[in-house]
Amino acid sequence: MKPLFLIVTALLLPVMAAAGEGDEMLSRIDGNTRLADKDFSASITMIEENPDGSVERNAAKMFRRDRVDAFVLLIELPKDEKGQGYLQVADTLWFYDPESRKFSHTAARESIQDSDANNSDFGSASYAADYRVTAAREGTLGQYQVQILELEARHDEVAYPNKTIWVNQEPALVLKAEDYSLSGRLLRTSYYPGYTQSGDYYNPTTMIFVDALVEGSKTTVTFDEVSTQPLPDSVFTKAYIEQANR
Amino acid sequence: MKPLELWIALAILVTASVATQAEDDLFGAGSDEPGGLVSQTTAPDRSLADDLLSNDAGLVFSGDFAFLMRSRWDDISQNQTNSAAVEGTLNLEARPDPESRMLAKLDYQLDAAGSIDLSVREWFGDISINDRLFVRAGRQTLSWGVGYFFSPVDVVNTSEIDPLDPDAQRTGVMSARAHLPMGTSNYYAYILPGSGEAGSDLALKGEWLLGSAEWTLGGVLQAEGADTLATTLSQPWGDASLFAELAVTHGETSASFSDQGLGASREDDWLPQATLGSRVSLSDDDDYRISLVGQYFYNGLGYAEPYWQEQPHSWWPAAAQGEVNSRLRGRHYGAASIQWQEILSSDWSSSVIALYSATDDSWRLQPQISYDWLERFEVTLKSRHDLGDSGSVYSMEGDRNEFIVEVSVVDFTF
Repeated sequence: MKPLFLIVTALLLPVMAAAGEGDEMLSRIDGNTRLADKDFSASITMIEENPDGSVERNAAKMFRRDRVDAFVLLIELPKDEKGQGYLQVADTLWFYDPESRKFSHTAARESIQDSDANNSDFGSASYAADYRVTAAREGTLGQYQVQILELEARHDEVAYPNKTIWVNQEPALVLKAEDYSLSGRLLRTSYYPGYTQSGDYYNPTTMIFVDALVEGSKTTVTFDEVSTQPLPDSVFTKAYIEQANR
Repeated sequence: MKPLELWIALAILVTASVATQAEDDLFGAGSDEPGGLVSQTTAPDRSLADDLLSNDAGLVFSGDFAFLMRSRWDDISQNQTNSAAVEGTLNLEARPDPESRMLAKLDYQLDAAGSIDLSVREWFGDISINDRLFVRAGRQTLSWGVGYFFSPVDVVNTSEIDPLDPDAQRTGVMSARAHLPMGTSNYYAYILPGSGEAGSDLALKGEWLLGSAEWTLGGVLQAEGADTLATTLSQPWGDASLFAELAVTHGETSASFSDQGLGASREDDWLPQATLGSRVSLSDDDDYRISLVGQYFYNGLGYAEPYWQEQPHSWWPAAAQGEVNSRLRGRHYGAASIQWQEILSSDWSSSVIALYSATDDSWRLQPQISYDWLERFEVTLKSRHDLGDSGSVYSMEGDRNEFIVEVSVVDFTF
């Protein structure tokens, strides 16, 4: 029994060590991409490419405050949806319709404007809190040396129960992610080919989401006018969303 | 390896190679200049949050218009009526600074005869005080209640929800509203012009989060008329959401009614109304976007028996005098709708709405199908079927069928 135990431990030890290093990497990613005490504001543009070749363009203003898990998204394009807004605080999401002037109280896991991007892509996701590393290996992605981490969700409050992420070594930033269902089916591939830095905070300049189930379905999100200047508390309230639209 | 297997393997290899090549291009494989992943931000001159609340352009015009043709036929009048019109909305907005703005929303319609119908849906001014208290005064659409087809707590709006078109925009109400947000809680106070000469009505409402549920408690004190205490609850639940309302009214001016006809005053009674419903949205990008809504409404201000059918000679004269509540006169109502948008990723959409009055066993059904071509041309076929005895809530004229064809061209937003 003892030799078998030693053999199994010897085989598992590198995996366990790699998983431990991987969990540490998740914390480093969070340290670089969670705002901590800062606020975040940006103009975002979403280009949705559909299987039939059509392209839809959405534009919005986004505000985030990670320390209270809050974000606001105000739609500017398309024109007939201008003024619609999302307000999320922790697990609670409201959708605002400027025509009826009603806030709808809804679940916090839906996609944004029916795109391949999810609400969680715009909020303050925490890899370390939401996932554990089950395997890790070295690799390359283009010109970058990366660590490839296989992740399993720690709870069911996340959009995807399993992920594989390609992480730049330094700074620790996710360059690519593959999102899987519980059955192991690839649902979505995400790319983060560039970041901006403000102090010790990094934000993607571009995010590309490729639907693995629907060929030709892709959403590209770009960020402009990025700022980490403090925002008034009133921005993260229903009052601001009502004021900001027509 | 057989030739077919060789081709499949080659196809997989080529596809993987193409995907890898795309990633290499995205992440600069073979680039002579390593790095370039991170760039530095420069802070913008003006806060984006303030940018949205102010506009240096002065008065800004925006709106939309559509050319609409409609043909209607029903089996009682046996008449077909046709109409054509250009209709839409015009918005005028001024934002001199982040603390204030003026907004006017007008609905217009220009018919084939050249006559113009212009109505003001909203016009109001907004001011914010120390970024803590937000005041809006003027004609404004008020949001009060969580019900979809019926909202018994909504006694502040002068126009009711149209159960056959619950998402339709409603005309605003002259009022002044003060809004105090405190974290995820919100507190509102409204002053509304009273219906008589006794003065203004006052409405107060608070909103709170209880876990993932949102709860409101409010009341309306009318200078002349009934007072209402109201509470609502909305709870998301997976792909569904539950909603409920409870309103208790005191000082109802309509009288009771019985087998002997008009009865005692109900002014001293506390009359409850309640509703419970659920919404479910199911979506698979490939095949379906389906929305289902169901709602039950208990109307304590209504009457338990269909006196409008059993004793029409007593009921209808009393209704004409305003002595009975003839608007929603039944006690139990149900409503449901199912909507399927972009059926199987096509340009077709369909919906069915069903309304039921259990008190007099009457129905109203509205199925509808529409086709959207190039997002500029929409054809809608809908019908309305009223089923029940004459004089019933949803079938005043007895069984009735109506068919409508609508064509909308160039729905344009500017």
